[in-house]
Amino acid sequence: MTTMTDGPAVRLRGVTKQFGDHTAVSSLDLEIPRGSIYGLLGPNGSGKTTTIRMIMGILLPDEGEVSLFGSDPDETRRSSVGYLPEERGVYRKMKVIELLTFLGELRGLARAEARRRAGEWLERLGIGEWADNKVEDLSKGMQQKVQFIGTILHEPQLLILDEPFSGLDPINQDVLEEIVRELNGKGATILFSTHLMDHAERLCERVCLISRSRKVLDGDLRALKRNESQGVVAVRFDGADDGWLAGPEVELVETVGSDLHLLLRDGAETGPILERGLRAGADITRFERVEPRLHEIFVHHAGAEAAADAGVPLASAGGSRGGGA
Amino acid sequence: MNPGHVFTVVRREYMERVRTKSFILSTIAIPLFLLAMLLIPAFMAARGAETRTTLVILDGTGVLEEGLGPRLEEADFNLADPDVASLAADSLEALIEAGELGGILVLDQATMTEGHVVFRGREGPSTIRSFGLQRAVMESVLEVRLREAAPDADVAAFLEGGELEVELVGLEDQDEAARDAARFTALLGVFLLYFILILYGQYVMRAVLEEKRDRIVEIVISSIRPSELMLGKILGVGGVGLTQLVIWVASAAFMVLMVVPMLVVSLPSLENVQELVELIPAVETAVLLLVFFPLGYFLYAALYAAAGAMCSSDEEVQQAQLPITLIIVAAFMLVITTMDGPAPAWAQMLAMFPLFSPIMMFSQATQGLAPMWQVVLSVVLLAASVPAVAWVAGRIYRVGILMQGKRPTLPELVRWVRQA
Repeated sequence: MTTMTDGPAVRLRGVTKQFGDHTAVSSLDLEIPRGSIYGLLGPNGSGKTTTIRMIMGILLPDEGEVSLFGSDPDETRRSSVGYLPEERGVYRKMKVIELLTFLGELRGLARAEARRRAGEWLERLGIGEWADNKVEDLSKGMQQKVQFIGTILHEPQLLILDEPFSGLDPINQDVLEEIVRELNGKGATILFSTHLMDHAERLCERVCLISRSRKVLDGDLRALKRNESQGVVAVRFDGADDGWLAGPEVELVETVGSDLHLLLRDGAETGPILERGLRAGADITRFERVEPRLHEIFVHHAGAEAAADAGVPLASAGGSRGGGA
Repeated sequence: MNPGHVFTVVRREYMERVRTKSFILSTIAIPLFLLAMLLIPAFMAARGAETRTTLVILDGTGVLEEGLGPRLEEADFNLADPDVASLAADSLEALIEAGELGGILVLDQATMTEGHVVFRGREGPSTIRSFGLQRAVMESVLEVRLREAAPDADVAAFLEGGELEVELVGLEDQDEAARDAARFTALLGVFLLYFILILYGQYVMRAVLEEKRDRIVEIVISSIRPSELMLGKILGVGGVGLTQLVIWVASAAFMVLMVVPMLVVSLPSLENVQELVELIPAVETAVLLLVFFPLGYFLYAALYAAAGAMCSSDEEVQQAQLPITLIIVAAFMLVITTMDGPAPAWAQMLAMFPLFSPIMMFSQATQGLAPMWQVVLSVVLLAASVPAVAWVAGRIYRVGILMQGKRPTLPELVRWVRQA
């Protein structure tokens, strides 16, 4: 589509959506630049899927506006979007090739062209000989591959993936990541949502963190980390239990590899923590400010309640975390 | 609404359905069943002629044999040659044992007073043959008795059941045979409509539920509008129904026009069918079917689609569809129970309303029992209600297909329609 108007791939302005008494998304602003890999992050139930459905035009916002490539998310623009919902469905009784042809047609491809591309992709992902089988005869892993193909058959300019890694086997996670990077290399914009911050950290250039229907913060991932680098201390020690870590300065203690990460409250000093450690007789081999992980940024900004939504364990006064490695 | 999108959905729905074994089987099986219904009696009749039982009548009364002989032949029995009939009892029994004679019918005074008859044979006649036998004897006895009592009566007419001449007051003259034919046609059409509205309406419902349950619907409506998907499904399934209808009607026409005339030679009773067929108001019926089938189908399919969209499981949908199906059943039952003659006034009024008219007005109009204004009014109301119902159903559909979990309550449904 060469007739696209200017503007970011996706822009949301003051978007609000309510279901009865429940506010799913509350005055959300979002801007996804073209060509970026963008992560929409937050715990389950924070409003990610509703946001994506509004971007896809499946739901209409109660307030605010959504635009794709600078205009309404109408049919022409939706046909340049690839969408993989969290619940990835198939017509189980259809033949694989028929299903893919149908999905391609829905996205505006001519029938013959859709069929040809589907055949090529099936070959490329190693399931070409299954083309004439019914979808229900395929293994779950193979069905997942069919679902990816259905999403990208029309070479979308914007690829939207809702919790793409949930339920995927490791091989298919790699396959999907490879496809995502390839499409992005060709200029496509990628938006994906996840509650798994580690995946986002590896893939995304930009992120938006949302919690309880509201945006917490957004921006370039590296810039975010730079700005937040005062807040996390990596610690490694032997010879004491970890009770000394808990204190008024520390918001959260987490195990990361062989280290413990202390997420500090704003303006907290590290000296008192170190003193407590020495007094407790810990043999400290590492005590260093480090770049925070996305997870830690999220907890720091969204607060304890949101962290509880996300299932993040918080350090308590009793300091129940076990030792590092 | 993009016709290309709708067509894509229609093609998938249609092609996937006509390829299923159940479609192919039911489409072929019904005409085959009809054919069998025609051929089996003809075949049996032909076979029956070869295996007629030969009887000897020993008439102790002296008055019965004259009338009984022809009646027995009509009931598919043979009478033995006079030289056999005049043999002594011993010789007759020997013939029976040798299998050359089917049996002896012994008539005496008890036959004239109590209808008591003795059949002596190696094996008794089959149940059906027994009835025929008994009836032949009884008619013969009654004939003799009536002649004695009332010499001037037309006994043959009595025995044939008399004749009821119906004179209708206030209706245009209509040939009774033609009215029978119209009634027969209406009944056939009503069965067809009833069957197809429920069957294909529920196909639409199941298809919607499956798409929702298998989570494919979200992918589809991220590309096309929910209204396009719903319309595509209704048209696709309807196309399958129409295909089946055309095949059935065509094969029925083929049988009536080609097979029946061939069979009439060996099975004279089929002549009635042939006469009836010639009286069928074919053009009127076809026009009425073409009006009421599509309109009725759209109306009910939209309702069934909404029912499918608001449920998440087979159990739920069985309950949700019940009110819709019950209305169709009610319309059908009302037609069947008021088939004999003009419908009561309240039924005629009911037949003008959209949910009932596809079946009830079709029936009355086919039989020429409804005034023109009623027919026209019912079609106008029906045609006007289709977009209105489709609009409401479309809104329920649009919200419902993305909802998982419990079926909505009525107030929730109202909110869906308002907010969609």
